[in-house]
Amino acid sequence: MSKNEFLNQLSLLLSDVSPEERDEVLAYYREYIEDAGFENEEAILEELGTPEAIAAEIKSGMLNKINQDINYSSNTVKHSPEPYGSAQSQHNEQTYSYNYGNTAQHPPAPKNKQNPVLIILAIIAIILLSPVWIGLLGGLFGILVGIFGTILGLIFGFGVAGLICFIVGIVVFITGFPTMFHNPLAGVACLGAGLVVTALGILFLLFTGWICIGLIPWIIRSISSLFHRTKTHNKEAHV
Amino acid sequence: MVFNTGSTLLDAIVLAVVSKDSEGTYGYKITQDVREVIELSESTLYPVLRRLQKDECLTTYDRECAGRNRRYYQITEKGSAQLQLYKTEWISYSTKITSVFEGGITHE
Repeated sequence: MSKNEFLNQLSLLLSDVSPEERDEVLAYYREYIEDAGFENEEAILEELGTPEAIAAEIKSGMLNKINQDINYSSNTVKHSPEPYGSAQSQHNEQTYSYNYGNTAQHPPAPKNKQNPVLIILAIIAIILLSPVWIGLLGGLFGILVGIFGTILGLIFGFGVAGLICFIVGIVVFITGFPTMFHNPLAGVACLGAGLVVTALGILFLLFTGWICIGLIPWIIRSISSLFHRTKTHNKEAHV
Repeated sequence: MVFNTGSTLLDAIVLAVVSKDSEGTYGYKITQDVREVIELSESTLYPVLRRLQKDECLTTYDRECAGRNRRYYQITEKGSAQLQLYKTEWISYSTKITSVFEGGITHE
C-alpha cells in the first residue's frame, strides 16, 4: 500500500466524521509519513497499522471524549491534588493499545462499560421523583401505623371502658344503700343497676385480658410461624 | 514492559516531551521521543495530541519546511501547570510504590 492509498482509505473510513476533524487526521498522517522519510515509507505504513484500526481508534476516542473532557477539564481547572482520584478513574482506566511483545499474556483490561452519564441521570431521576416515592413510602408507613394504632386503641378502649364500668357500678351499688332509706324503690334500682354495670365492667376487663394474654401472643405466634413456613418453604424450593 | 501506561501517564509523558522544545516539536518527533521511554504504536499519539490540543494544554502552529507544511506543537501555560501537577504526583506515587517494594509500608 502506498502513502496515497493509505490516506485515501483513511479518508473514506472517516467519512462519517466532521470534515474539519477528518482533514486534521489526514494532515497529521500525511505529515507523519513524509517525516518518516521516503525510504522508510513502506516500513512506517506497516508500523502505523491498517487504516481501519486507526479510524476505529479515532472514532472511539471521539466517543469517549465527552467523559474524558469532563474529567480532564475538572482536573486541569481545579488543579486537583489527586489526579489519580475517583474523578479520573474513568480516564485512567482507558489504556491505549500499545504493541507489547507479550500482549497475549497481558491482555488490556476490559473497559468499564458503566456509563457515568447514565448513573448521574438515574440519581437525578431518583431525586426528582422523590415526592412520589417518599409519599408512597410515607403512605404505606402511615397505613401500617394506622392499623396497629386502631388495634391498640380498641384493646385500650375495651380495657378502660371495662374499668370505668366496674368502678361506676360499685359506686352506684354503694350509693344504693343510703338511697334505700328515703326511697326504697330507687335504692333497689341503684343496687341492681350497679351490679349490672359492675358485671359488664368485669366482662369487658376479662375480654381485654383475654385479648392481651391469649389473642396477641397467638397472632404473633401465627405470624412468626407463617414467616418460618415460607422460609422453610423457600429453602425446600431452593433445594 | 509489563506495566500498562494509563492515559494520564501518557498525557504527562507527551507534555514533558513537548515542553523540552521551546520552539515546539512535531508529530513524528514526539512519537519517536515517547517511544524511547515506553512502547507504543506509531498511531497511538494522534488522539492524545488532539485531545491535549482541545484541552488547551498544547497549541499548534504550521511552518513551511522543505517545501511542505509541518505542524508544530507547543506547550501552553495551562499545559505547563498540568505537567507540574503530574510531576509532583508522580514523585509521590513512585516514592510510595518504591517504598512498598523495598521495605513494606511504614506507618508514620
